[in-house]
Amino acid sequence: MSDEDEHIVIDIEDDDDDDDVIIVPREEKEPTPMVESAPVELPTQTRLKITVKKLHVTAKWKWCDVGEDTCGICRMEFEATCNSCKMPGDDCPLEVGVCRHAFHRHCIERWTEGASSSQNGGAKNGHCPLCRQEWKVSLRNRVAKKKKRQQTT
Amino acid sequence: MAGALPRRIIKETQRLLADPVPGISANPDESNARYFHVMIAGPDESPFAGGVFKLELFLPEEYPMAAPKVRFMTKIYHPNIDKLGRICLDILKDKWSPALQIRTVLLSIQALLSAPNPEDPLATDVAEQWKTNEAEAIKTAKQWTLAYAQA
Repeated sequence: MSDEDEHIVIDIEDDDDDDDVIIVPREEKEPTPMVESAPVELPTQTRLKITVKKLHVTAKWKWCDVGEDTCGICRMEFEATCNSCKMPGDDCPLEVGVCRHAFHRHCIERWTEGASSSQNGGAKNGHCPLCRQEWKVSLRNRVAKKKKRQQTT
Repeated sequence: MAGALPRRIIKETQRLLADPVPGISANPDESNARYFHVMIAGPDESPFAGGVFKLELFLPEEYPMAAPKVRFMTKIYHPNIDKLGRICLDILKDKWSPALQIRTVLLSIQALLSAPNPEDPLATDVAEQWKTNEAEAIKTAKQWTLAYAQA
């Protein structure tokens, strides 16, 4: 059924003989309420007329790339949890050292705090587990911000 | 009391069993997953060649924040291993790093058999012999290997 079929054609008698046709639309239906997202018509070069009716969108998260996939301390993927976490996320983000080695925050903190190490009497371990350089958290971003602030003052 | 076994220990054990280091075997004890029975073959061209050395390795509760405890069970004539089988190796003491693992520790011990270091002795009498008369020391080490380290 095309739209035309829904119209009623009424012939009205009049004097001239010109076969006037008046088209009276049938009583207007209530407009159907808009579905959550209106179908989108995509421009196309073909004869196909494609309408996207529904999209299912998924996303994947990852910490910013640091070159490695797994934590050198707990040996789990960076996106997985460290040994003391139940959920991955901002509570235990990646900590990147000035030597560019990265670990779960809880893993490297346990090492640098040295609290649980009975072998060195709880002394602090100030060295990167992978390269033995002095462990310092990279402050690149914070330094950049500070510079900005200095410029504005 | 030991809690659940950390995933890292499970992973390490699986890899040690599935993909063992040549010349080294490490098997967890049936009743204690933190205790390993280790065998190291004496490296070729060392006085320990032809011998099989039994060791025990224990992962303390703090592992990997603390080093594994390793000890030779087989008697061995070596300047860095004492009568009780204790090993003088920096990575087992102050040079431990949580990035090291069972595998790398056992490789280091295997390397120590190839390269005895009498300058940093644990068994002082053996080290003294090694420094003053290396040929005699090597001869003794070979004899001990034949006498005690046969599978």
